Amino acid sequence: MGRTVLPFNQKILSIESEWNKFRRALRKEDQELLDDLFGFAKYHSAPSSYFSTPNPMEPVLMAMLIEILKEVRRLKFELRAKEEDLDVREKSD
Amino acid sequence: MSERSPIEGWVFDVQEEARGVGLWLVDGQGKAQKFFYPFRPYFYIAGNQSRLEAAMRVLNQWKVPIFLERVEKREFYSDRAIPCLKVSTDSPRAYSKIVKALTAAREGGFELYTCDIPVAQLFFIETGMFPMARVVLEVEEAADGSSPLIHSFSLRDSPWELDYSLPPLVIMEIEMEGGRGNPSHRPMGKLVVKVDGEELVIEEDPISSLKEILSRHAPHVILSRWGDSYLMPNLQRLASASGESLPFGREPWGYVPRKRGRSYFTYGRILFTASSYIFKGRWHLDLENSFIIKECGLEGLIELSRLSKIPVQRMARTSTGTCISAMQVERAIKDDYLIPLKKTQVEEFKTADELLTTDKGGLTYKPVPGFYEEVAEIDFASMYPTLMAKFNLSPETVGCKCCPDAPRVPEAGFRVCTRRKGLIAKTIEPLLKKRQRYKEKIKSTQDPIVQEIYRRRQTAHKWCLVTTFGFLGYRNARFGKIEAHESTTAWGREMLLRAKEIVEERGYRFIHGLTDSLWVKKEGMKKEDYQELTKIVEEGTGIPISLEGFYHWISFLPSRQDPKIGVPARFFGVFDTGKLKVRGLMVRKRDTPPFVKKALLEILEILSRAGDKREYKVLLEEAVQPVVETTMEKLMEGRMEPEELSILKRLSHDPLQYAHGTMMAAVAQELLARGVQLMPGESIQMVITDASAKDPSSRARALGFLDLPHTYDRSKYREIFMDAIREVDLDGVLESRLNPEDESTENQPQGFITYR
Repeated sequence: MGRTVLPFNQKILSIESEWNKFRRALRKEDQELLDDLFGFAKYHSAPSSYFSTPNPMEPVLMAMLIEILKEVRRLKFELRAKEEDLDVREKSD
Repeated sequence: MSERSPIEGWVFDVQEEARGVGLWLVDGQGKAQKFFYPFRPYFYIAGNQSRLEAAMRVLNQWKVPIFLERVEKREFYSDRAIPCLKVSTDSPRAYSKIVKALTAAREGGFELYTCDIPVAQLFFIETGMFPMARVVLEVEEAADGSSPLIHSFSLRDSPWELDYSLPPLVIMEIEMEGGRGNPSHRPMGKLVVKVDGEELVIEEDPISSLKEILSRHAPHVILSRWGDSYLMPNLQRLASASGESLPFGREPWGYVPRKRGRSYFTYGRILFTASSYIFKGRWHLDLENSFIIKECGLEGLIELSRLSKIPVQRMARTSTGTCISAMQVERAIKDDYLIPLKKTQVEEFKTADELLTTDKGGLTYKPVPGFYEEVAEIDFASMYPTLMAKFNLSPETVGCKCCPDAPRVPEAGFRVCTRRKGLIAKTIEPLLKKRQRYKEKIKSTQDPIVQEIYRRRQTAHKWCLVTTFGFLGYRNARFGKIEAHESTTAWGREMLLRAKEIVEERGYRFIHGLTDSLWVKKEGMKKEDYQELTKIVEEGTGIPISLEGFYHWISFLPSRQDPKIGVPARFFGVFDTGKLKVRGLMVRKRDTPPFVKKALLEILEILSRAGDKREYKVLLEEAVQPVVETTMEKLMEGRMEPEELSILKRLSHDPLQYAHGTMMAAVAQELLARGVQLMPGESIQMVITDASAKDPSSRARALGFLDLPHTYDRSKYREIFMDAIREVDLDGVLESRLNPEDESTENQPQGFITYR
């Protein structure tokens, strides 16, 4: 069966390779972050594919934002838990 | 007038004769006999007067009797009645030649219909008989001693019967000694024959030995390994050298293979099919040339043959897709439609935007890799076929012009006819019902043998149904239309999303989704809660869905390329029933060496006893580690046999066309040098001797020609084994215990984000 449209996974890979020069010039520690960002995009390939917008970069960026926000929320949650923990200890001291 | 007498039995096979067809009947004692049935194959010609005259000029060149009749039939896509000419002949052999001559003369402007259905199948469709059907024949002895004539018959069977009896069949197994691999890839061995509990090794003069065995045991089935590609061509060569013919058929004729072996490209892979050695009055089935027998045994094969009316020997060698298209052809003929010759339809015009929306498959999520406890999997049963039946998705109904107010397909937006029930729905509905009833019977039956028979038939249905969908979008399928295919996947995505929404509304977490399956979890929920949830999803979507199972634990593995990213179908887990479910692991891959598979199966068996993560880790330390160590010792001490190390690879090219000295290229070329003919798509078995050797031909060797004593590349095999072990390892428990010295936590994959 011929496919006219690339599966979204392949679209992400092709965007990733378009950004190869950008990646090359990044510092090594930043290259890893870029790779993780593309990992986020791959994680959300199903919704991106279902959305089927003509510009695949949009859902790719949106997927990255979602995962970053998720990480921020997680850190906030942990921070709050630590603060509460600290409060409890201070009060009991 | 000679005597008529009834004779009862099963329709074993049907073959073309000079006039009509020969029908092989096997009775309750296993006796096989051929009868004659005066069947006239037919086809249709349509066109205006001058065009029909052009066709008549071709027909007039034939000396065999040709019968003409003016009839009215309906054109499939438009559903309009059109006048046409029914042409029939009592000579099946002339039939295909006439059709060929007419096909070549089609510039005359006429259209040909129902002209490329094999005669045996047409015979079954017209008479209502089918392969392995129980019948009573009224026969009349022929005066000249030829096969008795079938005067009339009555059918005592139906293809929709769930429980049917079969005649006693004597099966003769035949293969070359020396293991399961392709015998042409090793030095010639001896022929081994098993029949009636006896095992015979044929030392010399195979043709007369076989003749003797055949006449003594009178088998109905010749079940071979590599019969089509190796045994039969070689035996035929032997036989013709001494002026004889292959002794297998019940009729003594020299046999010419019906089809030549060929390589073909499908789903991104190159595959090879050998030529077919099909006999008269006796089935030859090649285990190595039959997907259906491999997947669902003789029971599944016979079930599909009964349903599709394709004779058993041909059914064994076709794909399950052929089964469903044969059933569609039958349905269409019975509904008075003309069967289109081949695809003339083209895809309708679509804008770029429409293409983006419709040309997608099912929704495939990626799970976050990791170990999960207490997860439920719920699956839509035969999702695509069910959707095709429910929403009337068929080539002639999708995108219809006659119903402006018809409901539209989600995403794709095509309209679906509301006035006409589609051919696909008509074909699939009874099949779905039959499969469902077998599933129920599997559950209600206690007898394990009967249960296994039902299971095999049910599996055959599954394959048959799966391909319905594939064929819908296949350019060359007789009843395919890409828009119908796209509508089916669009409904599939809609249903998966509806299911996701329903479970999430109720507080369940959607862990993973894959086309027609969902993995969901909610803390503290028991199996009964998931059963309840399944019912709610079924009500909400309106299509059948069932709880595949409740996993004690399930481990979703990351991509091989990137340990941080999950992949849709690489996981294993154990249900609360103790049953394992494994997808995409090395243990399931065909190129994994047998010693790795054996160890992994043992390990998975051990791990299936774990009820949760803690127990899993304990088992890894206490029970799995010794298995790994024993295997590793055997490997490193050089005690592995070549068969245990063999790696199966499929050739993607002709052996001489490989540009690089890969191991596969080296082995293919080694085989070539030893006089083995290889086709792209064929599989070869090799042993890695020294993966890093400079000379490519020293890197790996063909299993069949490996000299003893042999050497193998221990470190390469150790690497392969460790890759397989890592798939079942958890938090590096095994890895750190197996090689504590080169353990560095830096190289451990770090989870990129913890999902909560």
